[in-house]
Amino acid sequence: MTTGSTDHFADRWLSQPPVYLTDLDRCEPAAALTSVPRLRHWRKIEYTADRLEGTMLLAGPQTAAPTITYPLEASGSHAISIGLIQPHEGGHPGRRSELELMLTDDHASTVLTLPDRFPEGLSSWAGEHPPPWRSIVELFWKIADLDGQKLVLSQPAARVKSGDEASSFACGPIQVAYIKLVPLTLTEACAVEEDRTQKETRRLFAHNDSHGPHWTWRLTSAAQIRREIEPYRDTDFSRMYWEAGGGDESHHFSQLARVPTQEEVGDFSRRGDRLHAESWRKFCATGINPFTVAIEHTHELGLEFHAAWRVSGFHYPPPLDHNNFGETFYDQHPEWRGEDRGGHRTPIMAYAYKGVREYAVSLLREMAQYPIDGVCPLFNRRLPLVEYEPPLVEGFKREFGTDPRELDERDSTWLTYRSRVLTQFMRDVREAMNEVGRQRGQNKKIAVSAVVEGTEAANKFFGCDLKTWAQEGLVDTLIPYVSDWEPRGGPGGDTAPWTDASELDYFIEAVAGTSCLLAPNLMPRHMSPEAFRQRAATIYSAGIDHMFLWDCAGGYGRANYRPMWSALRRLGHKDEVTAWGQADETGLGWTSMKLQSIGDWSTAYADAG
Amino acid sequence: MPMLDSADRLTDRWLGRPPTYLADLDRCEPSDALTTTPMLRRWRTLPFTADACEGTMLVAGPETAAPDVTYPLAVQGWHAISFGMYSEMHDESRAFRARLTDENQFTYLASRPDEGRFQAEHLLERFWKIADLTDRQIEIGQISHRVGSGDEAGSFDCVAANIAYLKLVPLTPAEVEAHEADLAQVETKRLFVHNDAHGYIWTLGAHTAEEIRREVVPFADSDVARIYWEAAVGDLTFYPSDIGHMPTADEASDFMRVGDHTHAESWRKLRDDGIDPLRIAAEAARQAGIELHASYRVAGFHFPAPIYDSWNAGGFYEDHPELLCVGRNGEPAPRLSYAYSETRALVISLLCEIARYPVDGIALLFNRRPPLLEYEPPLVDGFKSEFGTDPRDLPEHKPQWLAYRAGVLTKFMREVRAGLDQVDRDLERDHPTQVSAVVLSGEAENLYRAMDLRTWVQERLVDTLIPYTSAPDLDSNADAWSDPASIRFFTSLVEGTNCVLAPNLMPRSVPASDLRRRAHELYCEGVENFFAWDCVFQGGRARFDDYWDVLRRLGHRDEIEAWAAAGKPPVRSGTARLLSLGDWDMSYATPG
Repeated sequence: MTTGSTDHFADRWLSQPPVYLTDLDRCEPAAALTSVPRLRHWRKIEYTADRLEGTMLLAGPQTAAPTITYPLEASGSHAISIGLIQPHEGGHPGRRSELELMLTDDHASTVLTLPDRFPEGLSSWAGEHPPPWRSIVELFWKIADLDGQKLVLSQPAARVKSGDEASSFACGPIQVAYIKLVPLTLTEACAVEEDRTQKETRRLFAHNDSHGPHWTWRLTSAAQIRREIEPYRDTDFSRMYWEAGGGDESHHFSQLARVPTQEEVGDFSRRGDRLHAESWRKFCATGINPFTVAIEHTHELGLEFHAAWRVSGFHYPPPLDHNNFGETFYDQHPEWRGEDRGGHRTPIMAYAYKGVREYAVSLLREMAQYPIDGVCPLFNRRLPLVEYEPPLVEGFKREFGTDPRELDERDSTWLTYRSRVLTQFMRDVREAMNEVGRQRGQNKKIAVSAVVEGTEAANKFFGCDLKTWAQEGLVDTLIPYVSDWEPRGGPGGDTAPWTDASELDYFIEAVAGTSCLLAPNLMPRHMSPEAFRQRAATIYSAGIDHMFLWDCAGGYGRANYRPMWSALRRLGHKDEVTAWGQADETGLGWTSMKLQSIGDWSTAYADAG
Repeated sequence: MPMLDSADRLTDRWLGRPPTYLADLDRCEPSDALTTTPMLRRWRTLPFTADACEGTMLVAGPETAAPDVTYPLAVQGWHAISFGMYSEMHDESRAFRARLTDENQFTYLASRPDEGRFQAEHLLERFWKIADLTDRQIEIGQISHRVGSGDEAGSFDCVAANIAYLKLVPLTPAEVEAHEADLAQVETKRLFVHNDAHGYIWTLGAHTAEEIRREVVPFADSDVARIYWEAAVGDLTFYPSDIGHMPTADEASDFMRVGDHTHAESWRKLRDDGIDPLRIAAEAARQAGIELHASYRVAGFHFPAPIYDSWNAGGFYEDHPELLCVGRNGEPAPRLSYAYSETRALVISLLCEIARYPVDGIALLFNRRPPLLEYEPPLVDGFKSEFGTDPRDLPEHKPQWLAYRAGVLTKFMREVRAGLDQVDRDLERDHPTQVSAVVLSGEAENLYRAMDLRTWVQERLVDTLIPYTSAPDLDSNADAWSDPASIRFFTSLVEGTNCVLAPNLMPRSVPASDLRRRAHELYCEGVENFFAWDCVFQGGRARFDDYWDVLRRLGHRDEIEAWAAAGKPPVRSGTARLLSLGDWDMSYATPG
């Protein structure tokens, strides 16, 4: 599928003039609005901007403003965007500007977010006048048929304390300036419809750690789980990699692992950890299984659902060790812990032991009892999984006559030998998934993906023999995480991999001649739309057709509805990416306008301090 | 000057005896305030090993509200006291409070937000002070304040704390003598620090006398000679005033920042409890031997929505729309104009009210919310009658117009001086109330904002001149005085007068070595005093990190010159490599 010569970025390709709805004091019920700042109310303030004026709605970090509706009174297909004011820096720790939206006919809502400083592509604003918090920036939401529909707005609020006082809720502050509608011509509407029905551009795979939303918003309902998945509707995403757990912590109602209610812990090192635990306690009490909800909604959107699982994560370092309390697999099996070159016990569960591998496979097998499309061991966190455990050392000595602890830690013979452990694990995983697939009686097997390190050296060091995995058909999709992760260096979440296509040669060679897909992960999480397109172009130029987005998530991740998301959600449109690269690589930046006044204040006058 | 030698007395590095690490913090009392399992209102004890020591650290989270505990010191004599703290791998500060058992207020010690990211596997050392520990214990507490009712997790907001060890270095008799001599001399008291009297309430919900004193008293053992403590902004007063109103924001129940809510609630409590922060700060400064200069933001009668407008209700601005500034385009501006005698009279009445407190001076803060006057009718008409031209037809930087307009603020400064002289006479003060002014970057920018500094100095209308930065537009992030020559306008201005010059050091946070380097350059330009805007404890410049180690001795010019002569070696906080925490080997990757 191509969209011809038209770049369908946000609403910029549409021909009709926009309509700005700035009279947000028309929202209903009127009792939810106030002129004087009050908890549980939206505050109204008049404003003027470069090209328009109206009444904006505001809510602060403790407001917990109620759900309201705006009477759109429009018909036919429209592109919908929202004008938000950049939040003032500070004062709402850990929270971004957040606005939850849905149309009255929608089955699920989505959340638009702005960080409190320097959103991607806007860092040059720092020295501008008026400052960023005196500007309106536009977030393109979606194209929808508005016949008979109203817009439903709400402020996501996490209950952080009992009662109904200011400190009872934690929210992201929000200032909504306008709703922008661009009507579509019949031709444009048909083009949208045609694009939505094709599958060719569904090249993107999303990841959600199923932790952050609980941690931030203290989720308690199925609707809030669906909110994390809804942004992928009508996009180029074809798979959701949803974390089902890590180590013996389970993000579903498991019989084998621990649901993270953390009943044993009375105090947490971060408030979010408490909210996370309370969220899971609530889900357990109500019997709503977030995993089931996520699977159902993902499938409703037409995406595959892959259950991802952190292969390590059986034990955590204090003081962020709330996961360690209770009856843990780690505590129950001290005999299966890792051992370093010096013979010291290490804080990992070692996959050299069959018992660890069997437990890991049993967890994956349990996940596969749900109607999932695949499983995905995540090898990109908390490595190593194999070190110098006695069975390995003794085996190597028997086979090669040398103690591996006397070799260089990167000795090729030793690393090749050590990689047998994880290859055996992957064989066990494949066999288990095949077995579950057969039990299901379906033609389609349960796919196996793996998120791995980003270089040959790192994969080799950590025992991931990707070539064997691909050639033996043990893995259907390989996802290199980043390209510069050195052992013990930690995951380079802030680095920018794949700026050079040759960085992918090792992976291309590993899967050559096999059916294994490659889907390099794009990092860092937040980049300008231009950077995402440039990175995609590099990957396409290497002959790779798929991409993975770690921590894609909803509003707190990459599906934030900022321009970066407008680029991301269509990144599978290779023709658009290519044409844009061949042109002038422009036109993806922010749409913004400066405020002239807010309330009785002229923004021409300094307001700091 | 009784300084004994050229030794660089940063922290405890100049002391000769070996340190003692007290890492058994599980000995703190009462023992039922400690727990091995994380619990609200308890310190968690966590074993650790580091390359310098091993022991048990105390840990508390952001909702713990851990109680104050006492470490049984059982040592005699003078010691340098430092703490080891663990910042974790976050972009957040970690902090705690400490005091000796006979002290009336705590001191807050903290890590910088960036130290977690770059020192994740290290303990950070915070040098506190040198004290005689005979028969004294150390109390340690978590910095926390109540944010809601009840006794649940969300009832308190706290700064997370990980305190690993106490480090004591005993002083020899000669070292004690040198230290006491240094404390006794006043020549190095060259540093003026500023506290906006807002942030410590906004952040920490301070509302007790102890919490106000601890913003002042810990400066006593440093080169700080003066505290510039903000007393008011426009007619918003940080004390109970007969003229202005306090920032209780009574009409608002919701705010755009959590801190604004905390701030309003704290002021409501201060008002209801009859606590006057300005009086407590002034008295605490006097007892600590530090001058207190009550500072006043000359603008700020009206505040913009949506962050600050909760302060607008009931103000002078609302009742006097006829006194607003008028822009070049004839449009009213959200400012009260000093072109009107009514505005100046109100301000001077506030300054005189403030001057009746036990303060040593008044400081006018011209470095926020300019302009104070624009093209108001009295100005425009006066200029027209004197020069026959409408100033709005001239370029806005026309010298003739700027000089004319500056006459207004010169007149204001004369009125200030006269008003304060009257207060001094009324109170029969021995020493006249000093006048300081925080001003803009250079001659041109000050004149553009109607400040004729040359006349102010010549007429002795100002006793201390404090240029906020060398950068235009009050840019707080710019590297001020990076060209040392940029201070020469000011040094020449005060040369041969009694006016003290104290350039402000900005930005607020720079590497400690850069701070020393900048001070050295300015000393070489003839500067003898320095000003530090926003020099507060938790969250400000006085975290007891390496920056504060340098800043608190910035008046010791001889030390800085010796350091420069030695090649300006880096100055960094001490660290200890953390090897294990609990049962975790720190060499293993931890994220995710």
